[in-house]
Amino acid sequence: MDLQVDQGQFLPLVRQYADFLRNPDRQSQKREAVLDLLESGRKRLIVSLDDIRETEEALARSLVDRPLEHMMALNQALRELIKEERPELKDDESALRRFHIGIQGSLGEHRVTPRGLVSKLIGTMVEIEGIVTRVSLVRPKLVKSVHYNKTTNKLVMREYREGISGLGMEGVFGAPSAYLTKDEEGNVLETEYGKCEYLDNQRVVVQEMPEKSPPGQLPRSVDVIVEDDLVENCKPGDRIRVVGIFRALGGVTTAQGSGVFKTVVVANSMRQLREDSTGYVRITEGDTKNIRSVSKRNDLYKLLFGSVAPSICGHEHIKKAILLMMLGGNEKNIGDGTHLRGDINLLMIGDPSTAKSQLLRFVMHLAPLSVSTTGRGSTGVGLTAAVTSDPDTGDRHLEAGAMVLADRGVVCIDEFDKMSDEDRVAIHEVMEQQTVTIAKAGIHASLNARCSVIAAANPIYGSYDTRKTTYENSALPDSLLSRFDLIFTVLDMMDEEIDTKIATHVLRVHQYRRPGHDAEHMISLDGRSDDEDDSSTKQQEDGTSIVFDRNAKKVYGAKGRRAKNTLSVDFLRKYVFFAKAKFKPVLTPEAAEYIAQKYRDLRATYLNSTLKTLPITARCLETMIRLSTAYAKMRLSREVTKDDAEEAFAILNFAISHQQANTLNRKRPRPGQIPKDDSDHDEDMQDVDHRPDPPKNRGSSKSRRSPSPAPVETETQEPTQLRSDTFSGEGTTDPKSQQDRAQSSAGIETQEPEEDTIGADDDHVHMASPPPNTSSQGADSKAISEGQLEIIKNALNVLTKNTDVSHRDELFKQVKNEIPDEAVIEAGILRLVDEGKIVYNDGGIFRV
Amino acid sequence: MTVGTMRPLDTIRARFGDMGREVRATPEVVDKLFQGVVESAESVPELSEKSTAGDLVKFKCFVQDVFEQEIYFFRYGSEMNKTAICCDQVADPELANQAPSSDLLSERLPLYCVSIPGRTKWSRQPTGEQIDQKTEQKIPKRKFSSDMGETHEPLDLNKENLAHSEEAKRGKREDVEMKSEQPATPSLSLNLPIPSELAEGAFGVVVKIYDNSLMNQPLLNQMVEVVGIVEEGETIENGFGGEDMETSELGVAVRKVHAISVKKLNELEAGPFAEEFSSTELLSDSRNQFKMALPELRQQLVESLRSALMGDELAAEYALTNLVSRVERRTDTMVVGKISLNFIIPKDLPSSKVISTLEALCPRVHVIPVTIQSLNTENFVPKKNYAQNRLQSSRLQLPEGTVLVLDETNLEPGQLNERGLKNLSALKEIVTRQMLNYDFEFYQMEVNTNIPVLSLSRTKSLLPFDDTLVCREEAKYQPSMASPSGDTLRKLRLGLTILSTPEPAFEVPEPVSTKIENQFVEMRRQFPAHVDQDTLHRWLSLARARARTYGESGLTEDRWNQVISMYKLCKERSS
Repeated sequence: MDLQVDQGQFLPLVRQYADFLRNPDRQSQKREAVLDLLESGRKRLIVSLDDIRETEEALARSLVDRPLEHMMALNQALRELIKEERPELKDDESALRRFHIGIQGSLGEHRVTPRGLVSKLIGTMVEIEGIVTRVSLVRPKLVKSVHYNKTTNKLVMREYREGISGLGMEGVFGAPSAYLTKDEEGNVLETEYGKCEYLDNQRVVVQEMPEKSPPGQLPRSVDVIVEDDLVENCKPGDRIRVVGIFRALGGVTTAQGSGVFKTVVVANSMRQLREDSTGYVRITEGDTKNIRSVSKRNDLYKLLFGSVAPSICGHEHIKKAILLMMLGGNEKNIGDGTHLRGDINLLMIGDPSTAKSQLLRFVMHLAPLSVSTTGRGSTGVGLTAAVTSDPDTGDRHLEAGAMVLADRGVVCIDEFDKMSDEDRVAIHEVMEQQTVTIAKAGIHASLNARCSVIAAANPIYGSYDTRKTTYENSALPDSLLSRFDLIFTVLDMMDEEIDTKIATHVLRVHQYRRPGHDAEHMISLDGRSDDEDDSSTKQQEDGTSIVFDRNAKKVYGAKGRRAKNTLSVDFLRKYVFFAKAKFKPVLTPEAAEYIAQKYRDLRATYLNSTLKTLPITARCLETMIRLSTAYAKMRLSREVTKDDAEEAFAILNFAISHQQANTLNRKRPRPGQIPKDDSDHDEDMQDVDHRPDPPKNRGSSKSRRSPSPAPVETETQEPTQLRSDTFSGEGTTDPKSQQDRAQSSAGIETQEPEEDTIGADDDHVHMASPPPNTSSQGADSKAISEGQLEIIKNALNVLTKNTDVSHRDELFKQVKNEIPDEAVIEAGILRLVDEGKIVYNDGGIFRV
Repeated sequence: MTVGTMRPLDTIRARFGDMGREVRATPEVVDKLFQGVVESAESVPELSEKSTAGDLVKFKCFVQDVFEQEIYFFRYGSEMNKTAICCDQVADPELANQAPSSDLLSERLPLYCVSIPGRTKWSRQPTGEQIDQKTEQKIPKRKFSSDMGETHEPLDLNKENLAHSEEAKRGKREDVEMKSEQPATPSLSLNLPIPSELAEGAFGVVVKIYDNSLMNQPLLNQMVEVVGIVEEGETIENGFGGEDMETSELGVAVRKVHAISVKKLNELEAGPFAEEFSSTELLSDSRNQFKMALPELRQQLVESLRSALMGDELAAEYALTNLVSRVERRTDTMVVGKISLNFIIPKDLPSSKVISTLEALCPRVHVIPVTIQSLNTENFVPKKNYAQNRLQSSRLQLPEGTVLVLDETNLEPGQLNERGLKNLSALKEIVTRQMLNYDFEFYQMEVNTNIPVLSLSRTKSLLPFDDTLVCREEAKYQPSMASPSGDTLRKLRLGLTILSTPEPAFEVPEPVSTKIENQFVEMRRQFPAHVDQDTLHRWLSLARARARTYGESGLTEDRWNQVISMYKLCKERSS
């Protein structure tokens, strides 16, 4: 046998461990833990390796290096201790046998993935983490058999130790493992099954976690044997961390001289990583120091936000929102069963091929726990949960969908709009109550689904119709939309400067020099494989991550500023995790006051507004609180200050007003910004979100140019209504309130984006048209010169003369010679509409 | 031939014996053991039916799956002078009594390799044809026929046979035996990416590698050349063939080869012209030679494609760029270099005509008929089968450079089921991003592909291709040559192979890039609805591939202009 323990060495070991467990002045109070164990009826005492290390380093080292005998001694010590505490158990060997020690704590080099289980670790204590892919049935394993000898009328007993468990002292030394059928004289023995003792035994296959396996390589797995109280602790799909002994099983002795044998990990402790999210990210002391120092930087926000998906240009606000989502707010469970969600949900709606999916992929990469799926669900279970029946047995099973699997993590849903109807109903509950309730096929269950949702939806008609509301574009009901804290419309931008930059960027990507035909190197330009490729340089020995991304410069070109300011994904992940796990900031009164004020404002605006793009409900209030809390977390602060609230409001307001701006299809001046972020705007193309969005493929260029001015000067009700059919985003218009708003906004200088939008309305009404001869982007309409105004005036005259036509196209034909620029005509038509001279609907022109 | 090649295992063992008892399994030691066993790969015979256990063989293959790492006795025995390296079955009582202790052990990695999938008839000729035929004969027909039919059937994951007590173990063994009698037992068989190749003599081999540095490299879907020692194997036991967990058995005899050297092959080395470019100098030599003959060769290539496409020159040019396009580089948002093409072919042009021309020219082509039937019943996505702990292959698990032809000409309207949708989205991933999400049940694993995709359809394909071209018959077209003769054909094939080989660099000189930038901004202003970042990206990929068809490693203004006009013509046709 491989286990040769010298009694002479073993007993002192037991004593040593017993002393350790008994030691009264240890802060972890082992004795109490033992008593607690006895009280609670649990069977496994978790001992921290760090505690042992503190007491006696050499002991801890040999526990890791030679765990077989040491674990045995440790278990024995525990049982001795229990005997002292509970004398009544003294002679009950089988009861004592049920008490075990589980090891946890830092195993250093012995903390590996299934891939790292190499031969030199055989026979040592290892810690592995991974995803459970298979779980065997629980089988009873014979520990002690009792046989009845008919001839002698005696009971014979035998104990079995197959060298797997190392579970206790008894019978270890040279116990024969063959099953008894005859005694020495050859008399037949009958097994007394009822008197035999069994131990639950289960095999679990643990596979390397997808996020940990090197790119381009298949994940590897390992068998884990769990016994007794550890069985049925996990199911396929769980992510677990197991501490156990890496053992070679006796393939050599049993098989026909094969040079190969099986290896297993015999577990002594197992933890679900989901329950304890610290499992995913290990933050070293060095990391903590780095995190603290980064958090004190003046350019903290810029640095953090800039490090989100740095290869995607633009979408600055979405990136901010993504980071805030990762941080989340505070979850509250009030005594009466009310659950207030702390997770932030994001939705992106917009044109295809506008980096939505790329942003999702980045989230997948950044989040310690993330599940990616599409609206249809990738497994047929859908997003929430489903009752399935086993094809063989007909048994019903509850199968968890993506949102349940992502409990305490992030679920990334692409093609959110293509959800099945059942899911659409269920998702309402999930997104607010964060549970999934199933009552079907005799199964009634409530599963936790406390996850942040980041979803991307394509517009219903293929491309985002800026004349329609978010609802109309996405075909998602308001009730569902309101469950998203922030909704962004992602539109395709057009701007000469940006275009040039895009061209340069694309060109740069297409040119390359291949060093020595090395295919791997090429892949390394991909952000993801980058990390893994040179993980040796990314992580210092103790696992501390490098703060700044060294490759950023290489990948993102010569922009030194940005390269310098990009955090490595590893570090960012740790930062977010640290901030999220350690800080639960509370609202200061000023912040609360500010949020309440802003909410009242928003609500008032909303109720009076004709632009019901996004419902402003009480959920918005919660959103603001969540966002402010996330901002506070980002600063590693324990208080949510007014500043945080202001930042939070800015981003919420951006999301809301951005919608409106898009819906109105109008230039919206830059919102009163998040101050720290402002410096970014000018120097890069990150800021495309702020820019006006009359994008490339929104209908014809004619309709895009129509500025659809807010009818401040509307005199009659009728044209407005007709117009609102055309621009259905605006709903019915109450001229009075419009007027009021316009006036009230006049006094406010570009402070809040909301007011800005209205301010811009005035501009448009007075200027009436974008300048002719500009690019279709239509540069700043404020820059309209006198000369251009003159042109428009002329145009108006021409148009007034020609209003006997009944369709726009006819009009264009008629006045072509006089006004060559169609945009001017279009603008003119609208001006006439405003003046009440014509009614204009879907190309048709009617005289009033 | 040296003594080493005759009895390689003995050589290794003898050498090990000489090394002394304290030798540990470091990479250097393993290297030393293997050194000189293979003097030159050329003298090693190809793996064939005649190779028996202990023979040194070589072969080229495709890594379909990577199994679990194995731990074996690097040294054992009372004298510690024996080794179990390169051998699974050691009939040595000393080994049986050896207690495993970490300083005696080392690890090796078994790979499951199959013959390179997708090779066209002509490119298969030169190498190991003989083994294939005979392997098939040796294996009972029954198993094959049953397996072939079932490769795509859902796998029963509930066949867990867990036994802990002796009795149960015995019972289970009977059970397994019994099952193997029933043809209905689901099995992955040889697990070939393209199941029909079984009839053409494809083989499967378990290759065990000992090189530590290689173990940590991406090996999946690589083409490799293995030199190693044959060991007869009866079944594959993958990973956990333990006593309690059901062993995964192939049900088909495959050989084991203990690799002494494994070389990753690029497209050229794996192809039929490998010998001709056995060194880089040779390659660059022939490249230069080839450059001289290039204009004519290129013309001939276009010509032969043209004759297959009813004389449509634009389509032929597009097809050629498609055939030589390869993924050059990936960023997180872009895949540079790939071109996926959709040809809308006229009713009277059978897709088989185009396909046979492609098969005559390209070394590796795989055709997937896209029909409602195939989408709904086949499985295009490789899936991890946890019950057998193997990666279940699919038709899309192809080595780089295989030309994937999607034949959509028989696609009729119909209802897609869930699998059909999944398959369709798998095709979409390849067409748009040249990657495939392997199904690991609990999550997806992104695996990059590098296979040019050409789709043939009657109407616009439902997949988002980079470019869609309406092919037209050119009435005046007179095929300038009959079907090319053997020698010409060989030249064309060789030419295409060289053109497809990526050069070390691609440059866009300053003046050209400025022009491109300006043109892009201008076009975007003019046709905002049709031109965006992706369009530019596509143009550049086209330009890049087109430059390559001329053997150029940089972009000239001429090529750029040609590409733009090609693009415009293509757009005009579809409107």
